[in-house]
Amino acid sequence: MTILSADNLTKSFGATVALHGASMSLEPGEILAVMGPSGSGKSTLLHCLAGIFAPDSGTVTFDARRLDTMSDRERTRLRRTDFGFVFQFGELVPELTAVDNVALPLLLAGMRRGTAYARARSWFPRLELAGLEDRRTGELSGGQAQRVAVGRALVTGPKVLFADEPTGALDSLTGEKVMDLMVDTVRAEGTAVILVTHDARVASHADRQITVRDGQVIASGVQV
Amino acid sequence: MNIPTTLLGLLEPEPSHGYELKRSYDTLFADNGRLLSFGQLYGTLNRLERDGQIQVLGASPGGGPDRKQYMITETGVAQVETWLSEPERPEPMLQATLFVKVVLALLSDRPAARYLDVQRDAHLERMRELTTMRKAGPLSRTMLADYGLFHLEADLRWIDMTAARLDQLRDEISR
Amino acid sequence: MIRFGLHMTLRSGREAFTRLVVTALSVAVGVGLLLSVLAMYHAYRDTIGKPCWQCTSTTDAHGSLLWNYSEDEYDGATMHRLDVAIVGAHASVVPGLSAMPAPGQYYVSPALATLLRATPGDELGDRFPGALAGIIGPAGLQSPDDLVIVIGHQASDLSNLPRTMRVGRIQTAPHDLSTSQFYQFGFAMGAVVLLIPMLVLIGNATRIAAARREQRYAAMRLVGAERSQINVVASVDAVVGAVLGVALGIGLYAVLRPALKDIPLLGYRFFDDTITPTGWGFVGILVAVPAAAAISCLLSLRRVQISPLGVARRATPPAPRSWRVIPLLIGLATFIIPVLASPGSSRGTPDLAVLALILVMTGLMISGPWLTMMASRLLARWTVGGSSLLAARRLADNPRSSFRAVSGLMLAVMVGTALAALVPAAIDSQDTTHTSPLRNVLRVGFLQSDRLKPDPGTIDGLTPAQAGPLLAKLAAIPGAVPVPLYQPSQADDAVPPPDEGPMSGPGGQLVVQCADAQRLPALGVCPAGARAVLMDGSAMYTDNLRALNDYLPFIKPDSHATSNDATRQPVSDLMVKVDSQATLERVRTVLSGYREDISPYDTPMTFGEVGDVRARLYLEIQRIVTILAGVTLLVAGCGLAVAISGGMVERKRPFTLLRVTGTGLGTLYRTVLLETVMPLIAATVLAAGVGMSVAYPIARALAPERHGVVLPHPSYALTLCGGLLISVAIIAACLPFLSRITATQNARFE
Repeated sequence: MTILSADNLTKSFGATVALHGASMSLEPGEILAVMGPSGSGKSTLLHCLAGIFAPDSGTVTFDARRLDTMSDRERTRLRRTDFGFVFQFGELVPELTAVDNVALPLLLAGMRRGTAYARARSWFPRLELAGLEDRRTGELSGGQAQRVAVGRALVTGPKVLFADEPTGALDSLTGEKVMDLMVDTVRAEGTAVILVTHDARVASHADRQITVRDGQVIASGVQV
Repeated sequence: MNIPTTLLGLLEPEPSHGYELKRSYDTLFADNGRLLSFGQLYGTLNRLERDGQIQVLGASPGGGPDRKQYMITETGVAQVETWLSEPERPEPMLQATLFVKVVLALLSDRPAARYLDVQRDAHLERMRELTTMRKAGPLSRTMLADYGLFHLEADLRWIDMTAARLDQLRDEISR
Repeated sequence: MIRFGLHMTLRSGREAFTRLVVTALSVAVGVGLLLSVLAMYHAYRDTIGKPCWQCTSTTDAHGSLLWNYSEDEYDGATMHRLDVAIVGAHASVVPGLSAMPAPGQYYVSPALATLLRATPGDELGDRFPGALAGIIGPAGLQSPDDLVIVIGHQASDLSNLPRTMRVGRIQTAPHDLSTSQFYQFGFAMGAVVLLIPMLVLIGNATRIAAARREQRYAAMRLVGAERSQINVVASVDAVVGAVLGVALGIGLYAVLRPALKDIPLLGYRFFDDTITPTGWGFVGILVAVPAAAAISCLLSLRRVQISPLGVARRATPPAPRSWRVIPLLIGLATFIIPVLASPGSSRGTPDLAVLALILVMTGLMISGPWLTMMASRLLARWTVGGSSLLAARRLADNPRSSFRAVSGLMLAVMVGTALAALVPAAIDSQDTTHTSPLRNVLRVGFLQSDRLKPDPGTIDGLTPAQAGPLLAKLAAIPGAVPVPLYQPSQADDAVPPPDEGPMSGPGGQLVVQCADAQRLPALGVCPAGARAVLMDGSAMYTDNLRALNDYLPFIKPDSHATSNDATRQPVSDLMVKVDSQATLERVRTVLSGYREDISPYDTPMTFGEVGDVRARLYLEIQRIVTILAGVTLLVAGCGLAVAISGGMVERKRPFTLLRVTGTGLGTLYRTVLLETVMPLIAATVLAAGVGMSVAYPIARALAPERHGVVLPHPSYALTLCGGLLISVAIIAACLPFLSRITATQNARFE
């Protein structure tokens, strides 16, 4: 069974070819590491899978729906309801407090304020952030900010979490802690994860890894 | 360090005298370990001949071990192939072996990158095991697992760097 | 979503709060001034729309009113006097009165009532027969300062006075103010001049740190905010700032409001309660300003592609091209050509001129980026060093935003230059500074029939029988020296005027007795032995003191002496030298008894007062213009400060990085200074040039033929340099801010 799959994706930015016939698939609840050197196209693959932009050709299927042909509006809605994101720098909204940031996707989805905030707050102890709810983003350490980002990504109960170098800006110990918490939480929630990283230690948290090289997926783990 | 298979690998491109073999070995791999002694060289060659992995092409006039020219057999090639394509057990201090494998693969025009990929997968698989282990166990085991993880990570970095520079290396050793 | 937007705007930490405050303050300045202009405009419309009952001139043989309207002077102010008698039923009532005064009663305006109480009777009160019956309400007045009196009479007292009319209906149409077009034009100019820098200011304020905001929207897009939701959040942000600004602006207006009522825009003050932007005005501003803020915000968002991964400019904007100067040139041409084409009319058609002015100002705005780019090229070519390189790169990279910072100031300079070129020309042509030896001499003309076309119904001047008692009464006033000027006799008329006088021709000649003339030396000295001389007095009724002085003395050495007894002739004109204001008013009080004989065009005023009336008008214009230029400069200065601070916040990160990597603060300061001052200087030079070209044709048209165009006063150059210095000071004042935001200990990059 597959929840998210890509088939023969191509994507170019001007003269630069980022993806060149990439295919992959993801099972529900699976943590898949996407590895590869810088510029190999692994982030582009993630962006195509997450519907941030549409591939030039090829198909992306999520839950039996074609993402590549969806309108921007539909993809936006999908990002809000079924996907979560943790990027290298957290991408938190700087002016908001930690709990504001976690509640943001719920508010955007039109949830009532009280409910949204109650749900957002319930995530803080799980991410070992209790007591930091009302800190502004600027007052959090890097590891704390990433954990807030994890909370924000998971608060809507997404089916897939997209993580792009989630520990890229952190030291080993802090990064390890963020990864541990993230993996524990997604396991508990049954969320599938696309984990883009060039860091083997981070990738070792995954169930399986694929390598992207020159815009193509070199499937591995099992030889093909 | 698998000296017999390494010698087989060196013999694969073309037959060679024992003396030339030692010189190739020392040039390519001496930095990696120790120089190959003549005793070790001829002992190993004798064993390989006995196992049917190499054969003596004929001796030049003058006799003596230096004068013999060795050639790899089908069995020998199969042995090289098997060794190269099977990933090493991911454990610390593998660089010397991995390096030899890469060089031999390049010398014999085998897909070195692919061997590295296979090795990378083996490493990652082991890292996953260690990650699982370190999460389950007490701190002492976690720290032990971390030790393994960091070394494997170093190997992986080396694998990645090497994979990225295979063409350069090929040019260098074929000179 | 709106609530969420509010939350983001109001509770998003210090930086967001500061931005909100700056936005609100800038909008407040704009709105406060805008409301003031609206309020004044409303008062002006209200005032000129009032019925001009004084203008009633339609006679009606069966009308029920006897109407005798005259004007008089008191202390430099014109008094409107209506003597009225009711002769029929259903008589109309003058606006502002509850009823027409009964015989022996009068109604006065509040200002005149105050004056009557404070002034001795022989200076003012004695001019009016009767007793105070009531006060004239605002409906009948143009200004609270109006001196108006409506006096009730028996019909028999008025019926045989020559100027009495029988009227049925009092005029309800407003005064056909010949100057109204000029004032409309002035208002339009003022509004345009104020409005554009104000829009620039508001625009700059709502765009502060737009790039940083856009970054924040990208983060929201990532977690699934739709474009429409971003638009809502951004609009809420802009609208909140604007609404807050409007609220503060209304507060500012409330502070300015008391000062407004003292601005004599039409030469007199407006009624306090008419100075209001009106409810609709408030509502309009309350709706329009936030709406404009939201629209401009949405437009600026359209220009960037906010993707979940960050912000991408749609495209690097192409370098500004030279076509950008075309609108400016067209505007200038539209302004100048009509004036040059018809040198006679001083201002072409006002509508076209306003259009041209708008075109010139927008043209300046459009051509600015191109100019900035040219300036940056010069900078790059002529200078070396890190800061100039950074500044030149920045200017060349984004000439539009660099120019935006100085655009308001440039408009201020243009307006200031135009005014500086215009005002001295206008003032000089009037030459109000001249005093005349006749300054304290009252002159009054008595009704004359045209001697070429004698009208049998009118009396020529004052008959000797009337003049005798008048002269006696005047002579009895201490400090008053009356000098009667007589009509020449038939015999004297034969004498040709000695020289071509300014308005010479038959009728310009007057006879003065040498004994009288001696008491008023400014008139000149009689030839020895003459009892009376003929003099050319036609220059007496110019209101330009400079011109008057050119014709003094009236009695020239070659003036023709006459032997006829002048006192047997009617008195044509009268000069009275007075030594004080009180004496002057006493003289006028005496003269008010003869108002039926006084020419309505030659009411008793001193030469000084006549000159002052004109001077006052021009001084008022100058004052308003100064206020306008000052306010424009203020608004522009605010705009500059906002734009610079915004630009620095926007580039906080690169600046901090430069500092972290060892670039001295001094270099950064110089960079910001250079990149602001360069466009500023370029813009100032251009604006001054444009201002001059706009003003020159008008100044030329205004200048009297005998005087050339007056160049702007040296103080203009000083003002311009001062303005530039102030701008540089404003920029410098923003610099410490740069030091703070780029402090390396704060070098955290979200």
